[in-house]
Amino acid sequence: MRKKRIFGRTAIFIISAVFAILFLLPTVLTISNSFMTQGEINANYGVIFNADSPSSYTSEKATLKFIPDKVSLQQYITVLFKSPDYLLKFWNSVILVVPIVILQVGTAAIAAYGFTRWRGKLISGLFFFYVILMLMPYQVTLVPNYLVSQWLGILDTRWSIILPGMFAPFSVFLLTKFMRRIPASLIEAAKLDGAGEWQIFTKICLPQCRSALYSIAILVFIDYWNMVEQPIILLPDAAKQPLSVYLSTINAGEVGIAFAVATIYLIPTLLLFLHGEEYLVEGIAHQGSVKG
Amino acid sequence: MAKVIFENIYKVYDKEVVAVKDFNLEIADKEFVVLVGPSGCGKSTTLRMVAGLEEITQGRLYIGDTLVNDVPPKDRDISMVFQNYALYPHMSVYDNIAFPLKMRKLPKKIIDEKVRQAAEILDITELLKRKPKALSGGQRQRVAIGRAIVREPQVFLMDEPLSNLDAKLRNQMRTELIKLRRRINTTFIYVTHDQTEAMTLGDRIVIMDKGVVQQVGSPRQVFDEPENLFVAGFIGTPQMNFIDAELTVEGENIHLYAGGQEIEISPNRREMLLKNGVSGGRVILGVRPEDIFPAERGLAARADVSEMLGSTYNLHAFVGETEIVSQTDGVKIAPGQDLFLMPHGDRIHLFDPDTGESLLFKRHHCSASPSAEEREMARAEELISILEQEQANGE
Repeated sequence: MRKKRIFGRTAIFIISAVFAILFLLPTVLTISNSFMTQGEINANYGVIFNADSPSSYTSEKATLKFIPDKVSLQQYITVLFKSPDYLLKFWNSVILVVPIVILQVGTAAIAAYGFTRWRGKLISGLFFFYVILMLMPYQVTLVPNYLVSQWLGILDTRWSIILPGMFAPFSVFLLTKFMRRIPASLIEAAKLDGAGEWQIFTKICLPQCRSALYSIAILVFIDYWNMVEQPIILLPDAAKQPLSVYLSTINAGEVGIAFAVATIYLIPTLLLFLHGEEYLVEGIAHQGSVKG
Repeated sequence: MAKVIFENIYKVYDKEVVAVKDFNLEIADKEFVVLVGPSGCGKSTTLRMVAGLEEITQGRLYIGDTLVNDVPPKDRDISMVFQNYALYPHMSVYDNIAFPLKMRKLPKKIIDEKVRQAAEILDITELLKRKPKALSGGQRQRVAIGRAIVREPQVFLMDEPLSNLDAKLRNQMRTELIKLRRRINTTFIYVTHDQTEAMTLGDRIVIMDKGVVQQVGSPRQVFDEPENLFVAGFIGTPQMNFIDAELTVEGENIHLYAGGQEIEISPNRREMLLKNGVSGGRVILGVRPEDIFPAERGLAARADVSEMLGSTYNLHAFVGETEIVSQTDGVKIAPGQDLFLMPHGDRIHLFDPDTGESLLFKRHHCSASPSAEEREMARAEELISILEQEQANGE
């Protein structure tokens, strides 16, 4: 019996370890390769990115190399100091994603408060509608978004991405579930203590949803930091496109830069995650238990 | 400080569920009134209507002289302690107590003074920096009371504030509440399902069932003079014994028979029955366990079990099919033993089996809400006394 248990645990450990390695491999490869020289990169992967003979992509193998022969910051220097394009795209990403995160979390919190405080058939129906919308992949809404943006005359401006990004049923759904766990007596106590609706929202509800707000902010940030389809369709002007789109357009001859850009690209998300890891885990666990 | 007047108050949910029906009561200034009853009797709904957390379907509610039916909770000058304490978990104890004062935009210095004063009264000064989750149940309850008293409200509402505490702490907090009441001396409306709390805390008790007031009276009154079967059974532990009986009335001769035996009726009780014009017939005899004893004659019973409660015993016995309890001071009776149990003639209660109403104690009109005329008269008297006092001061 005990042997069986040990065997079972070992098997689970090995399988988990294999998955973890597979999952981490591309990230580790990207980071380690970003410290290689262009020459080393070409020697390892040149055969894949050889634009002149695409057929070699399938016929030849690349060398996966994790430890650089010589650690070099050449790619980073190129990206940060010799490539203004990169900084521009980075800034494009920031001015698209930051307002979306702030506005989406703000509107979702207000909507969730509405769903929490007022109940009834109409509200229940609306909430059900939100759930249905949530099940719909966002690609489905791309065409309507395009048409509405065109109609509003905001196509090819950042508003065509920011405005639809403000409203997300998923965030509203998660926050509503979170807020509904706040005991009604707390809100009633606040009412008796003299708080108005706005004060109840800002001083009682929001502080108690901090972990949910943080986790939603991180998820929205990751989602929009990595967006590709929306800017390509709604923001055709390459000068306004974010870093996520720029990454895919890096010239095959600059693969080294791609590694460095990808590494730098990871940093904001990573920092945000590390800063709010506690809240994120708490928020997701809380929501998980609600849904379960 | 203010009185609270309920005038024909109704609360109906979804146009069909009647939670509170024709509730009439006048609570005097600085009075401690306890609403008590089983779950779903409408006591909490009534309290929430006073708080403004539930709309009043019909009727009028006055706090002081103001009709408050449409006044929002924050403008009613009341505070409430909730069963689950309702402390704001993200705020420290200090901020929790200070919250209602901050909402009123009082200067920081005054807020600080009042918070520290309330903390001192409740002996929680050393807890001011802690968060609610770092407090015990009793400490949380003190903080909740602190948050309520800091505003010096006209009316203090408490919704089963001791229900979440263990038995020992509940007893302790009950004593604390009695002391607190002496210190802050305001109008209290207290909701509980615990009759011990009701009996020990209230100046008057309002017993409710199915949304209807069953009796209003002092603790002694509701215990000694229950007006119906529900009140008789609800107040008192162990509860009152009920036995089917037969009453015969021939002129001034009244006889009571139960279990084939005549039960003694005291002259006092006999007089009350005559005064109430009782006719003979089937009745329900009610007798509290402490008012029925093993005797030479009386109700023929068979002993079942005996519970030792320290200084007394609860003897469970069967009179026919009916189980009754007798509180004895230690008479040894073996299970299965036949014995006679005799009720105290001056402590028996008789109820109409059809209506459940007491044949001895009729509804006290003084406990019901006074009519508008009576209220006007009382107000006029109040005004006259104020004028007289002012005149006297002037002289």
